[in-house]
Amino acid sequence: MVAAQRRTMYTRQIERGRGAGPRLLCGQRMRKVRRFVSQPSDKGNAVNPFDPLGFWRTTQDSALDSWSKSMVELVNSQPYAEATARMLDSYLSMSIPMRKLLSQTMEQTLSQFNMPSRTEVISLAERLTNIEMRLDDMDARMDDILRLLKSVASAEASVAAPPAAQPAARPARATATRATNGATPSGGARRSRSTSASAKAR
Amino acid sequence: MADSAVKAADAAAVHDQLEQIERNMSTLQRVLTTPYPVAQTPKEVIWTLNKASLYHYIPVTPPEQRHPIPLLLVFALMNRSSILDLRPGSSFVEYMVKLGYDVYLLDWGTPGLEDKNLTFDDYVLDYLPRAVRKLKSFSGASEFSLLGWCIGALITTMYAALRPDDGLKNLILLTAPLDFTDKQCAGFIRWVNDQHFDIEKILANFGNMPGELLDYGAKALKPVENYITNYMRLWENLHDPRVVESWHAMNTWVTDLVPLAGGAYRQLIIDFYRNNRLINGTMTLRGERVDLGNIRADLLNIIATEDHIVPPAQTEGVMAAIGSEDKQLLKIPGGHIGMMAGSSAIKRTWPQIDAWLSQRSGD
Repeated sequence: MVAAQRRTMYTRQIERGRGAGPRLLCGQRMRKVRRFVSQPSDKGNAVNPFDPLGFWRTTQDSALDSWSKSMVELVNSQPYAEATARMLDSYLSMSIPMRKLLSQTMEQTLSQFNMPSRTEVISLAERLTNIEMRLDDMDARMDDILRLLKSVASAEASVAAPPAAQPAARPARATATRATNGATPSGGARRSRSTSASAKAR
Repeated sequence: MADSAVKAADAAAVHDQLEQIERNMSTLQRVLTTPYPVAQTPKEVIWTLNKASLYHYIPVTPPEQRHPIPLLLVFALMNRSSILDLRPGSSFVEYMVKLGYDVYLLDWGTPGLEDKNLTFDDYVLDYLPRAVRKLKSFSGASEFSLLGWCIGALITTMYAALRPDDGLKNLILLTAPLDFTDKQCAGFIRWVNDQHFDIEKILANFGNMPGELLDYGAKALKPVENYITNYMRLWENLHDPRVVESWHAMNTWVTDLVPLAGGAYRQLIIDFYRNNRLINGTMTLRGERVDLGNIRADLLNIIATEDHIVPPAQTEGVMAAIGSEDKQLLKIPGGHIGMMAGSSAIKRTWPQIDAWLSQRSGD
């Protein structure tokens, strides 16, 4: 059944009221039907004549739209800019002397109680920020030093790499060398230790 | 017999309605009085300086599937950066982490009165380069991508112009307020250009620009939407947990106000809004001239077409001045925040950012 036919049917049933029977009107089903009927028949502009709330909502939406547009125009106008600026200015002109008086009184009171004033706390916070900056500078230098160390270690490793790589590349020859020269394996082991150390540093 | 059945059914329906109203009222109270747990994506702090923190989001993809170039997100100085990680399933950070990006976020924190003299000079030449240094040493990457949003985009643009050799490969700007040539366009420009708007008096009174005043300014640009329609939308959808959750998260973010450091606010109004120094080529930070022609990173400049806070006119004109060879302007329907945090962001904005960035992230 198409939506329009279904809507007409439900509308008739609601118009008939109780005659429509308890099954149709009870609980969830009733809400479902009322919601369906209150929807505009077309998603466009059509207004359902049987739904006073829908009519009210449409009117309200269009009223809000036009109100919104006129308000946007108003706040973007020169007189509004001038009026708000003047209002803010007069508020500030009144409040500045009050604030000054309050802060002076507060400062005197705090100093009498031997407590730091806001100005002193602020100056302390500024000094802390400066210390943080210095720490960050040191952190940056540490990073540079670490990077340099790593590059030195990798350079060392690359110098040590060809002799260490040789046995791996030619295993048969290496075995022969090891067999003939007793000093080479220990030297090779030292090199491989330093290579693995530099690899760890990397 | 039938009559009594009808009466019983009506009573049940009324009871149901009353229960629904009660549920709605308790939902309304919860949403308006408790904060939503925003920023849930797992992360670690890898660097802090004063109030600023650099977060690294824990990767969820295997190393071989990750993009080698890390991505650093920089949000505005006002409001919290948690808008980038609003709630699970609706978080830009989570989305990018799942796609294999190594994501970092620079959170500026809340400035205190001791920070009232902080200026863009400090943010661009101290805080951001230090965070970048830490990012590079932590990730081991020599290149990185930057995404700046709103004032964060202004900061990243100036950084990209002043430090082009820092390894910045890709620059993504979201609703960047850079060009203030048009003094009649919408947004704050009319208000702050009025002769009665006395910036020195504001800062003498408050030290920093209070978050409440900034919030009022942003909301007053669209008063009906922000003060009426927004709450009506919640009222009409109280029965829908998805809408309520989304509204709750956004409301938590909107009401979590952050003041703007006095020095930076003074610069924003005088140097940018009033004198348009960035486009005129007269903007200097610690004596260094900010020349947009020096930017060499690949650029994606994203504009929200219905942005009332940073109108498109304040971003479009900058393209010609930027020196990058690979630059693209992308217009996306939506508002200043909705473009990146609304339901359409997941379908529209985020995939476009990924499509652009993935081609340039070393894959």
